Amino acid sequence: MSDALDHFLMGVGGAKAQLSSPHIDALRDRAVAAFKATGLPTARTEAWKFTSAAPLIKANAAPVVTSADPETLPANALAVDCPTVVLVDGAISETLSTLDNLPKGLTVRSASAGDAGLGDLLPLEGFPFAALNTASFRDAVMIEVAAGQTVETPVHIVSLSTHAKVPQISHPRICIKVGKGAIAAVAESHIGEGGVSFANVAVEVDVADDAVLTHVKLQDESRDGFHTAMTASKVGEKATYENVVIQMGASLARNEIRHTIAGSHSESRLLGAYLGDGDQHLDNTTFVDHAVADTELDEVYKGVLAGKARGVFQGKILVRPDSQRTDGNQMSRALLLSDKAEANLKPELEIYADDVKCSHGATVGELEEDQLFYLQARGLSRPAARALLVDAFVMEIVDRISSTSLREAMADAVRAHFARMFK
Amino acid sequence: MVATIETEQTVKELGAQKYKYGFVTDIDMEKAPKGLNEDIIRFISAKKNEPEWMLEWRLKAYSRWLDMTSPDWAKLNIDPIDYQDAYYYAAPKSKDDGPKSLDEVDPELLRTYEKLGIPLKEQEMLAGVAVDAVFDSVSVATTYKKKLEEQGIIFCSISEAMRNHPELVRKYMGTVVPQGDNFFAALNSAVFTDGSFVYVPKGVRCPMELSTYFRINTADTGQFERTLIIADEGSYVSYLEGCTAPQRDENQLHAAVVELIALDNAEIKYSTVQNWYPGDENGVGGIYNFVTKRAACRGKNSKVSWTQVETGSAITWKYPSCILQGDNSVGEFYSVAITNNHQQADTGTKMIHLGKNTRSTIISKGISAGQADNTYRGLVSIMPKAEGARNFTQCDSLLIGDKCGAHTVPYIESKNPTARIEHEATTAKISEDQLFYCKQRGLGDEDAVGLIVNGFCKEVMKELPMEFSVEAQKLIGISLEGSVG
Repeated sequence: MSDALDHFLMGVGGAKAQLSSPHIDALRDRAVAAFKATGLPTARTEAWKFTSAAPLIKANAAPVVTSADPETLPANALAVDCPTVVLVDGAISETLSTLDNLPKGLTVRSASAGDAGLGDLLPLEGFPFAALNTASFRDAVMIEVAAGQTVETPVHIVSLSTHAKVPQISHPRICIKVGKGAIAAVAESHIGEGGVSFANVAVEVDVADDAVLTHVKLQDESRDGFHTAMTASKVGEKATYENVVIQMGASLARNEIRHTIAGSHSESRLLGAYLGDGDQHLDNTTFVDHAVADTELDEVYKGVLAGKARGVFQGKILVRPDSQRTDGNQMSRALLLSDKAEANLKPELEIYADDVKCSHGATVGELEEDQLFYLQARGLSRPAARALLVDAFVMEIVDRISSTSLREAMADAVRAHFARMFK
Repeated sequence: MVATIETEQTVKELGAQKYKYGFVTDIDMEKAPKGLNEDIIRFISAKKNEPEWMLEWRLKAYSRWLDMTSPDWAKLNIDPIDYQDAYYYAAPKSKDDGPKSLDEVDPELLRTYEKLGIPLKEQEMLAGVAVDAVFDSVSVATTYKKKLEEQGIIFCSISEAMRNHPELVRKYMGTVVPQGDNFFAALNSAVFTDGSFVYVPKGVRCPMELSTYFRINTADTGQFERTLIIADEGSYVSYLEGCTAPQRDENQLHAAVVELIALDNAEIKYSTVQNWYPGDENGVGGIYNFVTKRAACRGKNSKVSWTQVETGSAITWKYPSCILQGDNSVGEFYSVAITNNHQQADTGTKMIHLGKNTRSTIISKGISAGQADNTYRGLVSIMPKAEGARNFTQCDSLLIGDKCGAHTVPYIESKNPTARIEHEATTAKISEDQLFYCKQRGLGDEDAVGLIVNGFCKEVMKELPMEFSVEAQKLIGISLEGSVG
């Protein structure tokens, strides 16, 4: 095991050479210690109960040290016409990024030009891959929205894993800060060129008081690739945070969100869909910490699983002792479209305050025969009826994206995926 | 917030109430020396005149247990238990005389039962319930045996069964909960001293509810019950288990194992009211209740229904489960768990769907008050061959006071697309509106809360057999008096 730990830490030296500051160096040291202390997830690690980390370890991926920018990007990123920052194997590409004419109040820069706040939110102890990212990131995208600014156009981060002849691992890092009373939208697209690439992402999101952030993520890595991501977010008083994740790529992916509700009268929405087929394994793990009173959470996750795909949803809601009048609702639903598909759900409530309304619901099943019959009676073929129902099932999530341009781009991405899946 | 403050006030006042059933009966006990080793196991086995294979079975369990560690995944704070600092065998001395009727039973013992409100004789006549009373470790009185014998039903202590029906015991014991199943089950398998055995033959509908009262008495004596119930093809049996224990300052360990086996078209209904000493209002003392209960629905169309009302024990670790092997078999779990003061409960169920068209229903109601923690932990697993399996789960929690906790940890695993699983969980407190409504109609705080909580539990309470529901309601009443006003 210690061999595997050392192997994963091979990239730390190279990363230090590329990005260093007293703050970042101290952060890396803490992260290395946390990574070693935590160790890699095993079959007995409860947080990884339904997802085996063994393929991630067995891949024996080598850290990316340098990579050449490709001439063009694969076409499967979200198609949004907006300022875009492109990460190639975790390093910001000057040539591919389009950051001219940033709207007023919006700053996008590399951590080398200022690292204030980086690492403030991301947990290290107990989270080996978040710690590994912190120890090994080669660069970080710092996005800041100035207080009081309404930024209409979204910012798009495209994170590309380049084609790998031998398995390689990269550590894309993003830090988003939305100032008091500001309104903004951020999108992430995680895509790959092919081969066994392992993208180990870490994202920090700080939504200050009265601010509103729409945060959308598309995970469409190459089908041999691995994707692990940790998003640590915090929402302030009277603020709104909307996080929407659609996972459809990678052979094994785990998207983990740790969201802290730190301000009263705030609203948090965690929405997600995972669309798996073949032998994909898609894991969605969320943890919401209601740290103060008078807050709202609305969480909905939906899975569509075909082929031999396995889907996982683990969602925990914690209501701390003084977090009275919490209104927390969670729903997770999974559709199994084939005999070999598998869904594992673990919704979890941990509640220490009495004046709360918390609920969770979970369902697993196949498409309703009555609904299929209804559509077939109206002339649709059975495959078309299935496709229509599955589309409606997932679009319930996509339709809730507040930003029009991101909603449309995500709908296109999902439909393109379904066109391949149901052809 | 007025009502909340009032509620907290009553919680405090009533927490000071003493455990109603806390007294100790002074009967000479025949004890094995303190501690646990192979010799003690040989002693227990010899004391019970067990066949050689049974001793070997126990020793195998013991060697498995030595390699195991106490489970730590539950949401429980358990002080380390010194397993060498307990007695593993204690029997009322009068056992050697072998009382054949109630008249021969030690009068002191009978008085204990009277204090507990178990009128053996009266029940015999009035309620038509056969009682196999377990006083510490040895069954002392069994009633209605003859009536049951006429139907071919075997209802006796497990030691008796080992002597008189070894073929049945050997065939079924350990097939649902193997010796090495878990830490506490392995411990039980090594040192269990008694318990109940029921066999209902083919096509027989047991004419009465079978009932056992468990009672822990001697200080520091862990009680290790082992119950085995077999319902042969087309039979039906309803089994009631209820418990009270005297007040003690030291934690007493109870690690029972219950195995149920339902063959083709058979049905077993297992109901529990658990009211062991929960410790005082500061969390001192109380019973540790670590129980492994599991049912195998082996046959087609078989059905097992667990109903539990858990109000006692300092710590409850208990997951009555169903393995739904037979096609069209049905598993049910109805639970009310009330925790108050410093009580901790981590309870729930497992429904393992293996056969086609298997169905399961889980209704769990958790009520926490004071500084108690109440966790529902459950698993619904649909295996690949469970075509058309169906599960419905509902877990509701009620919180009373702002220092208690309610937690829900369900695991849902589906490997068959034709299966349908629905799970829902809610957490709430008693609303001011509900209280106001009741109080406006002249109910006091206590009665109002009592009424609302009873309504909250109704779905589960109605599953209890008639013979039991009176006592269960009384118990919930007592718990509510002591917890929510």
